[in-house]
Amino acid sequence: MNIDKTISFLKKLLFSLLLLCMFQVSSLQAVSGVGNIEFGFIKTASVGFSEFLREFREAVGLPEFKSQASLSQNDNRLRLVGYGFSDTVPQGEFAATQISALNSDVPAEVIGETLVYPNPFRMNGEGAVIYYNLSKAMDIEVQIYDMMANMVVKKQFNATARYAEESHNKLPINAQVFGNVSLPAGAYFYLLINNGNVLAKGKMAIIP
Amino acid sequence: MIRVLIILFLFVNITLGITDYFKPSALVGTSAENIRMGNISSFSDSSDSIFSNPAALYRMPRYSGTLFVTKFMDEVSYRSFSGALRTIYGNVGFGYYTAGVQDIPKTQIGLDGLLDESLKTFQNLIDNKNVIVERIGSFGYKNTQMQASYQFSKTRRFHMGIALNYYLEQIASVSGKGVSLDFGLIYLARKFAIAASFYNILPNSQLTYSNGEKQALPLESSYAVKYKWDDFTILGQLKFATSDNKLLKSFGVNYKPDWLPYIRGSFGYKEAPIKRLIDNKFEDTKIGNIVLGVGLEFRGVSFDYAHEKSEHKVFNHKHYFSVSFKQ
Repeated sequence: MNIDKTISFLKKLLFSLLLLCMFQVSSLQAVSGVGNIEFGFIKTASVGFSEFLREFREAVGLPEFKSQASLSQNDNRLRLVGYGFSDTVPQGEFAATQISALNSDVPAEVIGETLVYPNPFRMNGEGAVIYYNLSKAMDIEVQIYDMMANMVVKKQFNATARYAEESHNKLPINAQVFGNVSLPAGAYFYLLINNGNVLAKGKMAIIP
Repeated sequence: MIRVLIILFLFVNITLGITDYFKPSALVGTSAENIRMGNISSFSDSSDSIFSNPAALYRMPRYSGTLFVTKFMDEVSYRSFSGALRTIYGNVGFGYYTAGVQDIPKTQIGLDGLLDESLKTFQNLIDNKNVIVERIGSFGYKNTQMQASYQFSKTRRFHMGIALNYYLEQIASVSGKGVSLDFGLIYLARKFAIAASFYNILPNSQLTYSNGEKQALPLESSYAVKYKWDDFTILGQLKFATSDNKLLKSFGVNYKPDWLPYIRGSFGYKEAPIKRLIDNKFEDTKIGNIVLGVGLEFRGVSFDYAHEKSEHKVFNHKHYFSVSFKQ
């Protein structure tokens, strides 16, 4: 009985590996972890997590997730815990429909100049947006300082959240976002930070 | 004296302003010497004291001047110059304080692959991935305060001063102008002195902007005490601003040893009001900072330095420099 299960598992594993090659896996590296499997990925914003899991499972060729298997999504890592693997399994980077490949070689950076539009602007009303172009989805912390170097705003966005997506991001700045509190007129300075590293900085002005 | 203080205290602290307030840049400090003592300048014998208490001009010799510079975050330049002169009609002083930021990007919406100009709306900017932001130039920000003050002494122990301020704030093509009046008192006892300052005491003190908006100049009052003990001077101050509705505390200790005549050192603590949004939680609070520094004085010329920690991630130190001369 156990031999049958093992053979069945090895077949599934072999099938998965073949599918990995078909989906242009850019790199494979072995990872140890009895009973666990972990993948790196980038999920596009338009796909819900459950839909993503279904597509992921179909792309990789894994069977339906069992109830005892737990899933977690953190730091763009998909972890299938207690999945029944008992040996070293591949950790891959996948490209599939609406699942873009994670390239670990892509540095976390802001592409081009980070700007505010309009600039200067009024806090009341539409306000403005901080515009930035990220090289990939990543955790982003936005800090805004007043002219006396006091931090007046700190906001954090998880890599899977809005305003931390790959490509163009536009973070609104207005009284509504700030809990109906206006920043006084003056010049302000902002930083975009990822994992403690300042990726970009910029300045803006608020008029009364 | 006490009656005057009580009346002014009630007047300043009962009057309510409007919601948008202008904050002069001089709140940063007007000399490194005062900043290193908790930014308490009501008892300074330099001309920069006019920014905080014009009555302090009673200590002027024949003339005095102060230059002050600092730069925050490698972006905001603070500069001030003040001078004071003793005349037969009383002491007069003048001051100029400016804070400026250069090269703030001016921007426009660009379309990445789209040609329809009607898409250039603000909502579309947020929603549409194809709408990008482009730099088309730059502008500057400048905040200037000019002051003229006059001081006279009622008795040898009781001094009064008044200061007229002119404010100018320029943000790109928008500019705001306003005038205000400050009033200060100092009373000297044998070992200690007390001072009271009242800022923007004219009704409806405000800046009027070219776009039709207004910002009030907040009514503020501060009450300071100085105590001399051996080689030490101990200072304390309470400041109340109607705009923030907070009581701000400051204190400082200055050490000027007899055995080392040219050098003095000091440290202090100062509080400042702040409204901020941290991790989606709004805070209306005050922040306290330790300040310290040293000074060198020789033949009426003094050089001062003050240091303060900053919470900025990159530029986490603030350095202040000033030079004063008196004759």
